[in-house]
Amino acid sequence: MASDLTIIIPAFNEAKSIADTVKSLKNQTVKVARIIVVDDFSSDGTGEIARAAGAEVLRPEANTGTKAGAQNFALKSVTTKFTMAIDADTILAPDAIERLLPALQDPKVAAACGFVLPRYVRTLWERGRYIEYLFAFVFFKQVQDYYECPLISSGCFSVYRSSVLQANGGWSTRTMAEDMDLTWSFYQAGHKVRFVTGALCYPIEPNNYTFMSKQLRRWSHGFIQNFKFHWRGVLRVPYLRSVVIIAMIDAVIASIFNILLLPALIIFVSPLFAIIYLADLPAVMVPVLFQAVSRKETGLAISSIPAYFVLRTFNGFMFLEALITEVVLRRTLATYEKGH
Amino acid sequence: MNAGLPSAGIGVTFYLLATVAMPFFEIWRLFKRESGRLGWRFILRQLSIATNIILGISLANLFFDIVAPRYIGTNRSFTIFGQVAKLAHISNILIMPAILIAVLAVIEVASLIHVRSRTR
Repeated sequence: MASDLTIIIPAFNEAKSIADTVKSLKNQTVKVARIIVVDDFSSDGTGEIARAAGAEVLRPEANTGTKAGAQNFALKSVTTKFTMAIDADTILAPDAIERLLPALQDPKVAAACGFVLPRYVRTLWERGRYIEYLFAFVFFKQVQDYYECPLISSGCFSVYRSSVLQANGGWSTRTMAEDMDLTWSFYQAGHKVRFVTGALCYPIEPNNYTFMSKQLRRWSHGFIQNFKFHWRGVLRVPYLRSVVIIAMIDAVIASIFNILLLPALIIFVSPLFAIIYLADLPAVMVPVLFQAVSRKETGLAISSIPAYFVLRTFNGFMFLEALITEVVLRRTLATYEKGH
Repeated sequence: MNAGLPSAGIGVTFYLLATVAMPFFEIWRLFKRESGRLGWRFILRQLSIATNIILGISLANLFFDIVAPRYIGTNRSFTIFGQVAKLAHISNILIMPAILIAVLAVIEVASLIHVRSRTR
């Protein structure tokens, strides 16, 4: 099984991180058939660095414009039973692929994804994301997987059944969240998706405001775009329909409440209303500490909590902007910007 | 919450209910003589997380219950906050679950209507 895997790494100006990514793949406990870096017309020597690290490098004749486009460029040449996609700034635990591949032994499973944690947890933004991931992957995603419905097979690290992926036409460029689009398409076609807790990956998360705002802009617009595109099909998939619609309603209410209503109450009625921002602190801390204690990162988790509340508020702003732009103004975000 | 998306608490309530439902699904699987993929150890772990989340929310409610009445009637802004704190308490135990059940019911009805309209 190990030799029947091709890894695709889309890369645009990833000179700083690509070598580490390729190295972590070469150091896996299972050997893979091919490691392909798609040098998407980089100008910083990404292709040369990847080649020197031992990857096979493909370079399209022009920039493909999106991560999905770059991945599809390599997908055409894949002949192995399984295809893995990994971001160019992501490294894996040495046994990540070994732990992930068994999930695809079930022929009904089209994709499997792993547990994501930030590689660096230093700045305010990285710390906020660290708490978000601990909560999401310890609680939400585990429950989704029990009901055989992980919401997304994360684009930063997932393995796919090549035949199903190719039959789908690869990753679509119609939304800003191609991983979500692909996952929901798989469900509607009757396939399964799995989440494997023990398969760990560590992407570089946004460490500043500019990088974070561009990523959240993509994610927020991507979620709304996928909802608009898939909602009819998703209604036919039990449990997924509940997960998706509740996520949408929750995000809309949270944005309006946290960004508009609550600040108005704080300013015009009483500053004491600010305490309501912290009302769900116990609910957030439980899954976070559950995992943090086992990882011996209790101090890091506790000290990162304030950053989470900052990021959560920022999430609200970005989602509100996406909602107004995509739904009210009907202007679709179509330009893919990673941000670094 | 899902990473990158804001949450008002309806999502957490949904996943708490889904976690509490796990043992019943597992027993139903046993009755159908199917083996569960993740097992009882996983279910107990998730139930432990859910129980502690509910405990944490309960402690927050207790805080609102104890703190809020002290300030009602002292000055205007405290009175308003005390009333809102009471509302937050009620929201956690009644309003959020009620919204969630209503939303789930609408989703299931909508899916039934959609499936029937497609099969015609």
